[in-house]
Amino acid sequence: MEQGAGTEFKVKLPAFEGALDLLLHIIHTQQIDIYDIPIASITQQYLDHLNLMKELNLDIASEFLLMAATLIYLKSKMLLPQPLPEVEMEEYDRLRTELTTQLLEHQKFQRGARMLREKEEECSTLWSRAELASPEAPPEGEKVLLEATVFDIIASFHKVWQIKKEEKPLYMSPDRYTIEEKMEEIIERLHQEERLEFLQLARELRSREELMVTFLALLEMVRQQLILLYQTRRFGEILILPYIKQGAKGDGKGGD
Amino acid sequence: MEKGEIKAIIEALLYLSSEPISLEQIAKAIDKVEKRRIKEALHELITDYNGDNRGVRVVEVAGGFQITTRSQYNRWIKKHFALSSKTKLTIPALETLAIIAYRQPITNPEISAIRGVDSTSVLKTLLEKRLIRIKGRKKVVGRPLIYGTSREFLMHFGLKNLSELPTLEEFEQIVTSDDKREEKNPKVRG
Repeated sequence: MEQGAGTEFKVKLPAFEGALDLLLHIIHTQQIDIYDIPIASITQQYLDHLNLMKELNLDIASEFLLMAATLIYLKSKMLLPQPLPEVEMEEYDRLRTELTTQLLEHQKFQRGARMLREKEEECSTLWSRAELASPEAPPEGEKVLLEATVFDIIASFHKVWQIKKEEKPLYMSPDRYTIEEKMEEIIERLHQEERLEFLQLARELRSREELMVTFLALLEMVRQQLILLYQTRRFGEILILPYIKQGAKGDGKGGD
Repeated sequence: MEKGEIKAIIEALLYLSSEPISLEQIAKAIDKVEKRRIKEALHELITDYNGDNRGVRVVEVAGGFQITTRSQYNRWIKKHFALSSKTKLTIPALETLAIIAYRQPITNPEISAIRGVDSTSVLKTLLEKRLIRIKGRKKVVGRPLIYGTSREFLMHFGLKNLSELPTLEEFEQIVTSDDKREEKNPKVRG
């Protein structure tokens, strides 16, 4: 298929997030009634777009192919001698309705996104005190805060490790902990308590296994910039605080 | 206490606060004064601020009141405080936020089904930006996490509360009226 040969699309292809996006794009540019989609023509255009994406070496995610399969299936039903047997007709109607519902729903939230963008735009030139405070500034009311290094954390961890060792040398925990669960738990608690003390948190733990998982969860959360670790003085108590930065510059992507 | 004095106290509180302060919080600070009178004073203060040709105004956001600068002075503020423009969210992020805002509490699979794409990484970004919060787990197979919007969400978009958002029905109306317009005004199909 040749590019730009009479067809709507130009070289600059909007980035489609998913198959529904692409389908809605076709519907809008072709001014198609969303309640009465001409399956045959839309299938063709959809496949043309996929071909173009392939030519441009874009990765075509599996959702795109799934949608293509649905469209082709619907189209194939229409090619069969009509009227279709009742069962097939029902199936056809169901799939079509499903597709329409999905498109309408998606369209609604596309509009929702646009509305939010406008609101964001309005707010983007307003400043308040909170935004002036340096994002990584230590919370007020603290005498001196130092950012804890990974070594401080390990040292603290080691301290608790020793305590746990002495306390319950033979305690075997039947529980299993995952890092993800621990992360959630800590985030939940930070929402409620604003800050946590590492040692206190560690003391509440029931086993060395849980301690280990908690430790890994904390490291992961620092990496993902979900929390900050602070000390009031060097080698002092480690405080866990929620990360307050709202993405001042270039940190939108996070760790990976 | 005179109204002028109450207004002055509220002004002082708002001036110093880095967070929106709610009427309840103000009433707690100015005790022995009826809440009704505080509310009156607050609204008068807002009118004063917002009517005059000042650099700042009082806005209602995230269930509280806050002093913010006026948008027309953005340029000078950015220059003086060496601020970079605020980061804007991407379209996928906004779309996901819209879904969460209207359908919360909602799980990742439910969000992904509406968007037609996997939403894990968008959700991660939104969590990092603290615009959404984990509200718990849904009691179904796999116990997926459920998400909801946060106070930061309201602040980011300058919303008083969630009900300030247009309802989903209003969206549907916009959608249908758009379609109607297209029906009435049929253009040649390509």
